[in-house]
Amino acid sequence: MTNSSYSDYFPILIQAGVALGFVLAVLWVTHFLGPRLKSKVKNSNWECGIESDGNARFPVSIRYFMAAILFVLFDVEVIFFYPYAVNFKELELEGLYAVILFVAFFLTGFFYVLKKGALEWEK
Amino acid sequence: MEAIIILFSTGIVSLFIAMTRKPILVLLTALIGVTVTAIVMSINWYTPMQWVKYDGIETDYFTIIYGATATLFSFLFILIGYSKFSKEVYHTGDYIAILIFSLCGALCLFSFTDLFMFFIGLEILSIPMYVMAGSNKKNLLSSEAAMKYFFTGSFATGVLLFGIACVYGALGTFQLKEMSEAIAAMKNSSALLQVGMILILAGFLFKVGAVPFHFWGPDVYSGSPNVVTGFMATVVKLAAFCGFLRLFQLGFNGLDGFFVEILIAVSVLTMFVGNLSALRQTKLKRLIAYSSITHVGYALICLLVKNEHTPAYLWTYFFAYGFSIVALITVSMIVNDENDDIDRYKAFARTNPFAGFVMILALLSLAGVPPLVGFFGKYLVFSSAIEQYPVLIIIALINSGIAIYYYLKVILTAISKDDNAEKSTVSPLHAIVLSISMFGLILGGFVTFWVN
Amino acid sequence: MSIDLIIYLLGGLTIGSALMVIISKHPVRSVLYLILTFFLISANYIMLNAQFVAIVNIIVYAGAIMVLFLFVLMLLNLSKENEPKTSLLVKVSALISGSLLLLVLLAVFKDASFLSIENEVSNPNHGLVQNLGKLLFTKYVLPFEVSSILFIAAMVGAVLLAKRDKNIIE
Repeated sequence: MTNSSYSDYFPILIQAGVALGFVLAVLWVTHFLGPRLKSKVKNSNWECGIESDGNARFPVSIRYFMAAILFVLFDVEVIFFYPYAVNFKELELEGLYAVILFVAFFLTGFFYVLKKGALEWEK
Repeated sequence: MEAIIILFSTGIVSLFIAMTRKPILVLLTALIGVTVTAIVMSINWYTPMQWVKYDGIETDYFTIIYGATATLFSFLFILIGYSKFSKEVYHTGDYIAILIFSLCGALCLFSFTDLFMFFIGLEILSIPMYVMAGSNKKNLLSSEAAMKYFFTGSFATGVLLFGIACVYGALGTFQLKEMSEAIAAMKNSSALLQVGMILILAGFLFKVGAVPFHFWGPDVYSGSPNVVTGFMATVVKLAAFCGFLRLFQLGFNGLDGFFVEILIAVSVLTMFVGNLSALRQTKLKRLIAYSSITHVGYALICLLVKNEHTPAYLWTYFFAYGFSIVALITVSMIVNDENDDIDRYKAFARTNPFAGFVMILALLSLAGVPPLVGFFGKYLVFSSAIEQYPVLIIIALINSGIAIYYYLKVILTAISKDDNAEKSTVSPLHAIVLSISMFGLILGGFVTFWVN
Repeated sequence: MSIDLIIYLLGGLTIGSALMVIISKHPVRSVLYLILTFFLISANYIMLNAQFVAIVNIIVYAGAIMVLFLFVLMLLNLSKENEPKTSLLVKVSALISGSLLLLVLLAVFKDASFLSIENEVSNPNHGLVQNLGKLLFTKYVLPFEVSSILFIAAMVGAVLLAKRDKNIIE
């Protein structure tokens, strides 16, 4: 692939359209398939038990955040492999050294994170 | 280039050495690494090493002078902070490594040749600072400082990036050399380029805390741990000033046209706002923050003068300023007061004669009293600009006069009599730093002569 | 459908959904609009023939960073009651300064000549992943490696700030 034009994106556009259309269609069709019973009790959040109280949203633990932020960092790292992989042959050894150095830095960081126990799910 | 590699490895090694839970080993690693960096830089001065050569970084004499100064101050701040860092054995390595990483960013800013490297350097310089501002997790003020610094700082970075995009749109290149050639080849000035430059200027003025982008300064300075405040006031400011001086001199062929007027206005405003706000402060770190805003105002005068000595004068100014800050931060670490009230320093010079003496020297040097190094910094900056901008220099002199008032107030508090005052203990590391800064304050003037 | 029409349509949609981010009252809705904005910006990148940036934008921003945003929203437990009130003076001055900036930028971009960009967009090979990779690993290899200092500093910072200290828990 040496040349690109906007028409190359039509398959992607069609794919996106089909995916979106399928989801919407299924959601819409389910309203008509199957029996529907409507009553005040049926529509309430809880059919039996205690009345709902308070907000459903509560603060989550910062531990999720830790995992997420480390994920972002390594995500960015992985993305840099893509332009390297495309040019793998032409870049020869110098490119390989550059990538190995970069990965080594990241592995050091990963090792540090592991050693610090940041990914442990502490009690 | 070699300096950045050595510093980066030092940072990593101290991160891992810290896992042994022996803070003294971390300190030794960091000090050895920083010293080796300084040695490598001085070797570079005589015989430039060229074993790695890639686009993006170029070492010249000013790179080495600025780099050595930033390295020296970082060395001193690591020494000062050790007593605090070593208390949290679990984090000692993190604190020291983050400071060293920030220094790496500063070194990138001293030597970049394209905007790519410039931006990465600026980010490496500031992101560790956002973290360090909030490193005192038990203190709410510290977290507030980190939040404020991070939000305003990232907004300023956004403005700066937009400016870089505009400049790229107008010139079509990232290389400083090609940029200046493209500007020289332009027949009539392009509005896109000017808007880009103004946005970059705004980002710069934010980073150094000039009025009207100074609002984050006092809160961040007073909320951060003492060492971080000192590091921000010296190394970060030095790096930001040098980076933008490089950008404007090498990339934009110096400041011309209405930029000069903008800078004059900003400089005057910065001096007055910083000084007049400093008059009413009762806390030492807030006083340092406002006085540092004022000093930014003086240093901006440097950027207005277009000649080959400008980087040298700017360096002299921050070299002089840095020693005062090092001394003041050490004293505040010795007193170790949570509230940081100036009243707490009552009779300090009587109970701790040596520390008090260095503190008074530092304040006098900030005020610009002749035999001390601060005088030489001010003298060079003012005398270089007096022919082109006489009115501006008169305003700066008036401001120096105002500033003497609040520096003297602190000195008088320190030497006043108080029978209840207790003697603070001075740890050996603090004593060493105090002696180094005393030598710097008294003999620094000769060093500046040698460099010039 | 001409290319111009697509560009204007995309631009309009992008600005519209970006506006919805700040207009929406509910923070989660803002984040969802922000995701839409990122997708639209990616489409704009594709129109500029910058595929790599478009893909990165979707993977990193629309994917990973938006998850972070949602986490932060959950962490903060925002509700109507503790929303800070901004004074009228602040609102008016923000409006004035914002419109002034818009005015200046409009005036500049109206008759700006983007020399470089015009030349490069007309070249169909520009912006391909292959060319970008070649530049990144030869000419710009130093900034690329130096950026790993930034990543490690960010990693250490994240662990330092977000990890709970054992002594604080005890």
